Amino acid sequence: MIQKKICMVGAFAVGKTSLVTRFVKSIFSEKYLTTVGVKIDKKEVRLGDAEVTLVLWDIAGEDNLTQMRMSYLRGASGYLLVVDGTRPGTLETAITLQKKVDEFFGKEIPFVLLLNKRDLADIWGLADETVGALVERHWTVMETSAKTGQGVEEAFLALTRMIVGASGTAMSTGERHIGIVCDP
Amino acid sequence: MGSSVIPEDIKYEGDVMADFDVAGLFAAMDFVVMERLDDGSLREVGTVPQWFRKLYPAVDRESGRMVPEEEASFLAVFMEEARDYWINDAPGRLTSDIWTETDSSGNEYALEASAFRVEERDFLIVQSLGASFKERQTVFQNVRETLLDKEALEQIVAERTAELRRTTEDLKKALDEIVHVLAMTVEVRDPYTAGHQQGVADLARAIALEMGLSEGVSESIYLAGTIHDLGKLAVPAELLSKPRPLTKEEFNLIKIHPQVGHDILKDIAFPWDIARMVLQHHERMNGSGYPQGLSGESIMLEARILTVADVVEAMASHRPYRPALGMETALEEIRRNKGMLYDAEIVDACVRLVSEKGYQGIAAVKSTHLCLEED
Repeated sequence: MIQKKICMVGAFAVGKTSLVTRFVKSIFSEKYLTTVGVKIDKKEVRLGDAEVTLVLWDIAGEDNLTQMRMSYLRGASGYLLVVDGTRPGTLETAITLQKKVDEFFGKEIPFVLLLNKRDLADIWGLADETVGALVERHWTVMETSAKTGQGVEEAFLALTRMIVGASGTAMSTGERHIGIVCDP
Repeated sequence: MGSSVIPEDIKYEGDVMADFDVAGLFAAMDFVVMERLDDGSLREVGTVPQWFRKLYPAVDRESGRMVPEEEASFLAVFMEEARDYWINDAPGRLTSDIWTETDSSGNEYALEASAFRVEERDFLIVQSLGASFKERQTVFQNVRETLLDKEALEQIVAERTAELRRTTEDLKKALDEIVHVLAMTVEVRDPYTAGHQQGVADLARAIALEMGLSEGVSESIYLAGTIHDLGKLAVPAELLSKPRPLTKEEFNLIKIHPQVGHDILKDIAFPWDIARMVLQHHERMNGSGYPQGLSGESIMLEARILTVADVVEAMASHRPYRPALGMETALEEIRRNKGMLYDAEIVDACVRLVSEKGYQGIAAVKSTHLCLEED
């Protein structure tokens, strides 16, 4: 059994905990309950013949008062960079965090940018050009909704594939991945 | 849940532990104590609560040892920081952030770890926070909900501000177009002075800026200049283009134009008092002007600026009853009557602008007049 640590990274209240809860327990709560420190969950997934235990580190989001402790990323094989699609400022936070993570590791480790809360189409605030610019930078970008489940499992599995590789053998964490926009 | 046994082999003397109440701390906590051994593994000290066994089944029950570094666990990460703390023999204790883990039965535990050193021995405490976690979480929850509310309000303010800005720009554009149409209305009836209002507006604005007035005030003067002769709509067209000097009666007819212009404009909700500027643009500092015979500072500053610009532009340009007198003559006129007919500070600004800074606006207007005349 392969075990991989995956971190949830992003601004506060973007839905990191809801994405993990949807993925691990298949449930969703409308009530916002802030994460304090780190919340750790596990989920076993199968990729072809390989069974992988994902240790999910749901790290409290950044806000004006608190910054993410980069040491929490130690030992991580990859991370999901989460943005609230209705709050454009959270994309800026995500871009800043991505740079910090790169600096921490001294190289790029696998990550997927999740544009979450896609169910709230009426108040969606991200411009196509902005997202397109990130895809051009070869970021893997996916739209998700923890509420409806849209794209959630696909996102975790996409990252796991990046980390483990289709054959089930571990990939180098420095390997770069071509970005795609997934709009199921 | 858990144990409150104070390990007997831990002594509390020494400076390192002097800054907190160890016995009180132990009594209040639901915790597990582990000592770090030389090989990096952790040895349980005293009774270990059941929740810890469930969360960390990797602990060897025979030896009571675990190697948290092998786990993708929070403890493994904290141990990295704790190792530096122990190596550097730092004072006090090192405390982790709170983390939450779920055991195999689905029970969630909010935990906090502390590293400390007692008599050259390194210890780690992992504490289950229980109810106190809820209190801390409530504090964070309140802060973040407030931040979210603030963010939402800022978003609304930003959207409304952008909307207001768009509306203001649209209104300004409409206003500019209306003023332009009004100006054209006068000039269609009076082709000989076509361009005069534009020339006055340009020069008056330049003088205002030269005097250090704000962009807003300068803009208002420009606007008033553009339509300052609007009242000439009420003057018979043949008088406006009469190629000889006017009789006294004819001139009296001309003199109604500031009042007529004012009456046309007074009910338009301009952001500035454009109507009064138009009304006063023929007043003179010594009270010899018209229509009200105002003097000195009872004439608004904007109107005093229009007056100087009007005189200079009119003298420098061609008129139906005489050729252009030239810029030098125009400047001489305002210099000679500085302080008497014209505001001294405004005259100085105008002379400075034209003579020293090479203001070109009038020349451009003059050439336009000539073209129109030829047509």
